[in-house]
Amino acid sequence: MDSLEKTFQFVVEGHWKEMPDLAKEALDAGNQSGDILKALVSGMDTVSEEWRVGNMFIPEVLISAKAMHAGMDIIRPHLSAADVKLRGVVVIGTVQGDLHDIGKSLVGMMMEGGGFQVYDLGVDVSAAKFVEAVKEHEPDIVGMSSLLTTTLPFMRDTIRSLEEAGLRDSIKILIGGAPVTPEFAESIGADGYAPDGATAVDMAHELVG
Amino acid sequence: MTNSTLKPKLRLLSDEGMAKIHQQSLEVLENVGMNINHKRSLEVLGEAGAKMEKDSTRVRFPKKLVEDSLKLVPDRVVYGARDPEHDLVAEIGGDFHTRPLTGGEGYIDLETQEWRKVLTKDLVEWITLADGLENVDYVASIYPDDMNLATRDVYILRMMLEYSVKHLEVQPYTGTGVRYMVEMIKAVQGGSDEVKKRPLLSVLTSALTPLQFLPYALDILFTVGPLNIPIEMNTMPIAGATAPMSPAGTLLLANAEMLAGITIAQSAFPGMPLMYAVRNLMLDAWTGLSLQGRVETSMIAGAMAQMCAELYKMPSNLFGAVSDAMVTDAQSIMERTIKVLLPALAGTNVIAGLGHMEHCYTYDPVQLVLDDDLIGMVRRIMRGIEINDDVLGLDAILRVGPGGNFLTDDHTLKYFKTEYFTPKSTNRWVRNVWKSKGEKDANELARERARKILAEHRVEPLDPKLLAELDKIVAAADKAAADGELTHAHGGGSIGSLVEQYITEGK
Repeated sequence: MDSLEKTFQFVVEGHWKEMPDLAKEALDAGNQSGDILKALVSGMDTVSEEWRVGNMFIPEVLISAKAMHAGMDIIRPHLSAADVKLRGVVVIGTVQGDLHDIGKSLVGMMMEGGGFQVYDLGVDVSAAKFVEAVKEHEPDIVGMSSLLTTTLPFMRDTIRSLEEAGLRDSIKILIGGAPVTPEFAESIGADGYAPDGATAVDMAHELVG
Repeated sequence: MTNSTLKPKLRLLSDEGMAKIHQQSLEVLENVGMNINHKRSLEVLGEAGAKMEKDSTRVRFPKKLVEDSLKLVPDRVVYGARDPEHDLVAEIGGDFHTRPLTGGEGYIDLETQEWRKVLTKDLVEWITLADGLENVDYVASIYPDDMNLATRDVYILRMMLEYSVKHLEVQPYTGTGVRYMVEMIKAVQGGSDEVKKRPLLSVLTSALTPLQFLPYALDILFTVGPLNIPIEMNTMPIAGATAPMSPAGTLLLANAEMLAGITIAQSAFPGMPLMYAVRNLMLDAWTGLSLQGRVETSMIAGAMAQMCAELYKMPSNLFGAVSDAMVTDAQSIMERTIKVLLPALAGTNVIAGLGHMEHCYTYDPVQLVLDDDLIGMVRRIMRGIEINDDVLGLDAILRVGPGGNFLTDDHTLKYFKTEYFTPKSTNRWVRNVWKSKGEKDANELARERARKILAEHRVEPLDPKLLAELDKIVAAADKAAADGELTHAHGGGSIGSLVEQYITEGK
């Protein structure tokens, strides 16, 4: 098995601790960084597909994502600017007043697994912080999460702030969380609603085309 | 690494309570006795020291005879299977096994969801489902209504041999029919010695409560005894009708009948594998129906499991995943959940009745699939909460620390599958997704799983020559029935003598 096939396999099997050495080995063997990147991403594609049909589970997907990123960290200095961006950039956070972390983190990790560069802003993220992060990271997608009916209005506020800052047209907005519905997403002018991490990744792919 | 795991255990009787039930059972057998209308049994019991009267079938059992017989009962029963991977051992302190209901005649059609009589065409469906479900450990069959009733138990075994590789249980309706079943098992296993080592077949036989054995029931016992084929020793006392009204009284009468069956079996075949297999009911004081799902029937089953595990050291085989409900509704799940949990927690070795509806009358394939999940859950409970240094995860907590998460920790990856049982027919979605998937409830998901198993599950086929041999044995049974040697009737003197001839022929 050559080092590219091995790279693919290490992602699928989630060998994140061994991945940095393997990625170095692959570079030393004269492989193009772009080809190693392809092996990493196609490993994640396989993982996503296996998970979609029920053969793999979230902890395994996340470990595979961890392995992919361990490989990315090694090859990043060798990649072209276009390659580094991967499939797109995502800024994600739980909205103001809401301290629920784990669902949002899970979606963030799944997005990383789906090949996105993810900036996780954490919890209790104000509209101003979202605006600041969009300016800094120039994402393709902004993801907002809320678990409380009382914090839902902050999703609307954040979208307004992004509009006022003139940033709304440059991004797509995805929202999720227990009290969120597709109707609510439409009413506040979001581009999509995802009921779970899987759908969020699918929609992100669709939104960035 | 030290293991401090507790296997959950439930006790429904005190030590004094168990001792009293046992002592009074001995009193019942010594002073009242049983009516045993079976010549060979009377001979064996007479030789063993039982008290009899001239020209009477009444047998009184000296306490010592019963106590000595109990000592001969093995504490483990071996169930062979066509695929040895499905061989089972039922033993005291071991995990419990499961089998579906047998004996009912109604069927809920998988597609129309309408009730109707069991038809021959349903046999393959039922056997395939039972063989394909992972928490159904061995197979017992439905009883079709549209075939030769005198030999349907024989035909059912032939069908089970073709469509299942698990251990098979039959509830025979005649003693003579068992001859043909034994011939089939010998053909498949290649002779008596193989059958004795790991019998593919076990049979149920029953006392006629209160305190009687009919000839056919003991014919069954005497036919399988020489081959080490396990017997489910059954009785079906109805509290308030054929047994005292109270749970304690039902327990006493049923236990006395079990001890009598054990004494007959062990006097005839010392060391014969036996399961204590009471299916107690209670008379509903309003409708007059004999019900299985009432909560006290579960308590009695739990008490019996405890007595077998703690006092008699013999395997028990009890109901079970059963309910009096007409359909797989809330009543069904309420009743069967308790009926599985109590005997399981009290240490029973076999949970019977999977797929059972309507007080033993109806089979529901959808319920059978749901029971597969229910049994999976109860199995998980019986494993207990494992405690050792690794599974406790102190290291993981140290790694993650305050405010972190365990999503990608090695400990999560190591235990997310093994520490959790995942049911197959339950909803695990948010409402929006559930709606987009067609708003299916657990029954519908189970129906889909049933269809999938029926479409995909196939077993290693039997050699066509062997299959032809089995068909010849069924044809011989049909001919015997046509000649009047084998009837559906529960009883009949001529059957006893035929079996006797069979036994003395050196089997």
